[in-house]
Amino acid sequence: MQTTSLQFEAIGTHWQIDIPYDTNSQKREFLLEKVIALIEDFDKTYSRFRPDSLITKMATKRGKYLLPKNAEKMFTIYKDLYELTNYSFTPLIGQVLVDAGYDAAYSLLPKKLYHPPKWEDVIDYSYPYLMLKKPAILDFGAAGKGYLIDLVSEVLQKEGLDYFCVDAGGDMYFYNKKNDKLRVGLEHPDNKSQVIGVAEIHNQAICASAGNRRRWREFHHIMDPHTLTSTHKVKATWVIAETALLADAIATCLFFVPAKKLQTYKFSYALVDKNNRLEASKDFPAEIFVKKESS
Amino acid sequence: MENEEKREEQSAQSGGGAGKAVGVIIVVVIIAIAAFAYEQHAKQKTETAMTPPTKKAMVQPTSAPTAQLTLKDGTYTAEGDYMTHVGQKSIKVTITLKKDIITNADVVGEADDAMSVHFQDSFISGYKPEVLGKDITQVHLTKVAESSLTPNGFNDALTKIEKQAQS
Repeated sequence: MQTTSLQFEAIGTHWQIDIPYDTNSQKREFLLEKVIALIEDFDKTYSRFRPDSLITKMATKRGKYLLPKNAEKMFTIYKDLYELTNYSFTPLIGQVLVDAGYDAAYSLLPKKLYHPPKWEDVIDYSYPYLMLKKPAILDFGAAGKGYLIDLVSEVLQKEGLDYFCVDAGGDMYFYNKKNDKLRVGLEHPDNKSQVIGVAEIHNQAICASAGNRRRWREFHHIMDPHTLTSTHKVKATWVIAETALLADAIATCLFFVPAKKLQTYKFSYALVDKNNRLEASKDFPAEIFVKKESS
Repeated sequence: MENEEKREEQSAQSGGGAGKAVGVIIVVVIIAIAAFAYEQHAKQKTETAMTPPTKKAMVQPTSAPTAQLTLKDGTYTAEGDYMTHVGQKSIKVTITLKKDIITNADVVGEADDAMSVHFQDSFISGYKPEVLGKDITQVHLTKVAESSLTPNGFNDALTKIEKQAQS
């Protein structure tokens, strides 16, 4: 399939949207505008890096907030995975990330860290309302980008495209009316010029998470709320699921709990642990390169 | 699962009788894990399980392994069968042995029903071969699933801070 691509920078990452080559320039223009408007709207709600966002407002003022129309799926999955991961996967990690230095100014200067509060002590969530009992810095970095990929994909699908791939900095959703799959390399956690395997997806999302980027001092961006340190047992995870929201969220959860704890969700996965050992579900659609010791 | 477990151990591809012993041990361990996993699962579903498993389901090796064995280096394959309430299931285990140490292990589940697949999966994922990197150029890829590119500004900030720390 020959494609042309829309490319831009948004929410701190590079976006590449591949669409059929024969899409005329008028339509390309139209799609780009629509997608960028959607991302801007999402960012204005969920970014803790913007002074004008809803999340920033929540960090300063308690009260009852009306959530946007698209919020339900994401908040519901956050609440559910909070329970399934023994309270490790939580938007309340926001304050910990900020105190560790991962703040709006990227100060990267760690201060003293405190355990995040319990969900029920701060949040009373009943869609479409979110009641904050006290101000809190919420962070949706663990699944927000995945969800945004889904929202963008929805727009493209509604526009009747036969083929597209929405790639936001290495997390992606691929749709193809025909049966051809998309081959996606799995980045080596220690060497970004290498891959440890090749996965194939079709009308599915693949999301990756790793501690190899966004590293400062002794931290990376996945923090364990129980230990207040960055997770270290797992180096990298890849999850394939029907939505990027789910794939992105599970890719982070696997840093905290074994896959079998998350079995109420449908996904397949691979992960590389701290010793570069592979663990993968049998249904993970990939060829993975593993060392064969000579005998 | 109350049926006694049946275990077969196939010939090693290379190596001798000693290699077989290792095959037996591996299969036994794996079946023991399977039995345990099944039992755990059944515990949660006792109301639906007609015949709860018992600990007797553990397999006894035909010949007990002796303490001091020096095994020939090589690759060994063994097939392990075990009985479940939906019939006999099997797994294939391949191990590579070097100086008495298992350097590589590969388990292939051969079950077809959902539950056995599930349990075989859960312990297959317990085997952890070391991953091998290949250059992206060599694999011919246009897409790579990776952890997000570092956000703009992050690296700049980091460089600045490192400089400050040095001065």
